[in-house]
Amino acid sequence: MNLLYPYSWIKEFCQTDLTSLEFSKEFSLCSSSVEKIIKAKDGDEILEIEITTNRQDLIGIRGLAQEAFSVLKSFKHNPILTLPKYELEESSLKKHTLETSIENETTLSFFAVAIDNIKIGSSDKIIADRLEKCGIRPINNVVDITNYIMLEFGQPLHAFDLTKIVNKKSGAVALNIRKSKNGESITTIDGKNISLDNESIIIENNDAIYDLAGVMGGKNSEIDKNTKTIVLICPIYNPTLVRKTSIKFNQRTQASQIFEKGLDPVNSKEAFLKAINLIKNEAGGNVSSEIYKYLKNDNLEKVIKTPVSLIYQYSGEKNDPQEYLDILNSLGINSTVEQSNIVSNIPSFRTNDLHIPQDIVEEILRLKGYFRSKPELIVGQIPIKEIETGFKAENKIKNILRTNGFWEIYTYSMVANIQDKTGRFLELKNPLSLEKTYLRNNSFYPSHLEVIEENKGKFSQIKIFEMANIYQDSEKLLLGFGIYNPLISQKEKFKIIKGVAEKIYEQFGKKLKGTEIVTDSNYVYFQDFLENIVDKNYKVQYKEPSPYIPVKEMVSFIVSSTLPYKEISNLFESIKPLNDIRFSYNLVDSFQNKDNLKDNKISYTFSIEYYCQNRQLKSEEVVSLRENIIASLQTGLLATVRKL
Amino acid sequence: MLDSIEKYFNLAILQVKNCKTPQELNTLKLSFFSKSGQLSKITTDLKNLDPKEKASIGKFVNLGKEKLNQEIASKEETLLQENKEQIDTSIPGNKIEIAPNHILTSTINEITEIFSFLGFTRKRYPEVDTDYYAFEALNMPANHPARDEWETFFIKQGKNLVLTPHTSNCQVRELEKGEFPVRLLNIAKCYRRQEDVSHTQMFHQFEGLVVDKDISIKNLIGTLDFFVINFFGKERKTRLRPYHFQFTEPSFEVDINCSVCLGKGCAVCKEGWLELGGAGMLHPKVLENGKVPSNLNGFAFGWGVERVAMMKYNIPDCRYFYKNDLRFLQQFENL
Repeated sequence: MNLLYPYSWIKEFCQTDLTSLEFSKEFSLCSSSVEKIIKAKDGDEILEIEITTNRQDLIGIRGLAQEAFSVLKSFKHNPILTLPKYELEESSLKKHTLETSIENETTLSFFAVAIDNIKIGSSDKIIADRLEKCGIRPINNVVDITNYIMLEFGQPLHAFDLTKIVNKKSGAVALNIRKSKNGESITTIDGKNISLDNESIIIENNDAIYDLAGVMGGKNSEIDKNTKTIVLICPIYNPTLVRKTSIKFNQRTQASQIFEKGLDPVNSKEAFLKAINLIKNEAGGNVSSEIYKYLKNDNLEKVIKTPVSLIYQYSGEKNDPQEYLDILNSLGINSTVEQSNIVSNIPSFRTNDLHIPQDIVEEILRLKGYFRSKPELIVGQIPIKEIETGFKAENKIKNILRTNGFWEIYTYSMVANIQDKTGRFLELKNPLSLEKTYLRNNSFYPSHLEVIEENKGKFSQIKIFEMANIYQDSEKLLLGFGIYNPLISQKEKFKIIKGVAEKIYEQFGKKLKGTEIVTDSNYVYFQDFLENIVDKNYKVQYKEPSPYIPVKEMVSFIVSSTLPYKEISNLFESIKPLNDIRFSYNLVDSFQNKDNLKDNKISYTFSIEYYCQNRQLKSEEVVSLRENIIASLQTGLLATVRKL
Repeated sequence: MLDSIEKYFNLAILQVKNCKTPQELNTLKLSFFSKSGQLSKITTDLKNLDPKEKASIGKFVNLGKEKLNQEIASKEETLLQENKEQIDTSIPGNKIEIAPNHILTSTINEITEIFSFLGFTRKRYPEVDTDYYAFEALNMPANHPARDEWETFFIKQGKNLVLTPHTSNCQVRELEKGEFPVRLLNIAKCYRRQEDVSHTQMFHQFEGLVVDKDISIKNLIGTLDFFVINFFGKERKTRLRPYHFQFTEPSFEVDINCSVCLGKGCAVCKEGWLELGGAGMLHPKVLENGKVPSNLNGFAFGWGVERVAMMKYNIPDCRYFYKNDLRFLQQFENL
């Protein structure tokens, strides 16, 4: 997430004389990316920084300052880091008693205190300005302080009006933190009524639920202008439960996004103490209860041992280990060398992020500067393996289509409607738009019609193809292509498509089977799965070319226009070779003149080639076979043979 | 008989000499050698002569034919030379109907070719895959906040199916095969729930995966530099910055120096650099899930095909790739 950091506020904790631009450059290279520098009205500069999910410690200004200190040191500057600690004298006045119960699974750390004699008003100018620079609208001094502390420490806090959370029967200030139950509900500060299931964390007082913990406070416990006494809490909740709740109820508040990353109890305590101090100073309150503290697990120590050799391996070079130690120590990760390991004591603010030796390697190398590393190619062996041939076949098909004038297109895999309800189909659970809800499980045809629509004003003829997966039982590569041209007949378009399809199958020694060419519209379209087209075992083999030249002739004849072509080819196939004289036939032209049209006739012209496999044929030798062909055409098809 | 034959050939040669155009010569040629022509008749008549006469006259006819053919050939050559001047060389040539290369296909082929120099083999993996290979195996357990970054589309049917939001589902799928070393290139469609100038719901990524002995970040930088120099040009450079991905440790974001200012800083870029994509050293958890022997480690990177094409050709909006305005595609026909 991108967060805003006033540069003047960073410099309050990490003193430097670098300009914001110089600072941003160096910080981006070794830490998080400064995406933008925004000029504030008062001349201050606000850095917009992208904080990755693992670095919850950088959410607060103080954490960022710690990091900045280390980055600036690695660039050989002399920054000064000052992170003041806060103390609190316990109050002798115990006007209020907090009765707290915490369900184990919900909370990792929890601080609470009652503060009396609050005067609600508007905030001090420095606080209000800083909030605004960070994109938060000032509300009143108490709420503003909780937000201010959140910005400074990266630790969300919340304040309730004490009188509103007192249990009416017992008169006690009860904070019962537990998982919600099915059927319970809460109205949050923004007025939204939320019906809960059993996966949220709530705070209640045996009477009413008054906080959707980690996400948003309840309307019923909200601070208002008459509030005199507050209960201030500083919690660390179970990140998973907060995350689930905020996603489920679409309440992605800044607090919830911080909680879901997991927080540091030590930092949390500092934040809490500073908040109390600030409230005392800014809103005139005084502590009126004992400070309630809960820490689920107080063993926060963690040690990672990193072999120095691992750092050498990852960096590809050997440095003095002291250099590594200096970097880690500047980050607040106290480390020493023991034998050939670097032993690092992980501070509480980095325990959520640093787990394994590779994490330590990353800390060292990023501050050494990846940008300073020298590029080298891999020196290992190239695996001896067969090259995948599928892509070659795909490109072969694409080239045939392209050289025949078909434009390749890429359309979305998602469509508005189920294409084939009888087959298996996949539907998106969370589509972004309704016209992209189902995965194509049948055809590119509808997608191609959209492309035709997009282009038909600009081109009179559109020939397109696509090769992409469609999704049925498994995903399969499909080839689809077609031609749009309203100026030529459907038959003409059909023949163009069929011709290309035949050629494509021929590439793999196959014949086009069936003719499932869609001719329903001006876009004539063909498709088939690549697995049907490509024969992986197909091999091109050398054959001795015949040294003999065939005898060539043309034959034209007129037959009934209702006679299917198939009958003609069957007839040719049925004519037997004469001795060793064979022939092949090829349709050259078909034509209907006015007279033919009137008589429902059609004229065909074929080229006939006579040949012998092992000798040169003389033209005189083909006479009988020719007569045989003519006779067959006349008797078999009732053809009028025009010439030969 | 000889006389009439001689006369015939003399006349024929004269006719050839008088020809003014190639067309005229062609007609004449056909008339000489047609079945019903006089030469044919002369040849037929030869058959009726007695053998002695046939031989001598036949020889004479053949000589005549040869001379006539020579005459025709030389006349053809002359006419061709004479007529050469008549071609208007300013007329346009015939239009060849070849469709453009698609910019994505060209880019994918170019990427494949560059990486094949380094021994990478391209393979295919599912584009609809299980939650396990898309997230879990990559060190992103259910409910992990890092999953948010991927803006994933989920499938209603089947158990835990997603439209792959990245090409990294190939990582554990490939490693599981146990064939080392690995130099793999996976180029595939990816899907994310985003749509704006720099995002389309469907896009392509290319992913490189290397597993071998003693792999360092220098190797990763070297590999990416090799790609960048060959894809973008030799004056271009990459730069690694820290980043975070759950499945790499350390993780990087890779910048390329701006094509306009070459890294000095200008209005187009961010201080001279533009973001190219993510990369990193394989996380030990991924190596473990892929059952990689402990003496090996590796790196991976996954970048957008559209993104590198946009940066190479200065295309301002990635939605153009899927709008299918043929005039857009035409601009890249010579790739």
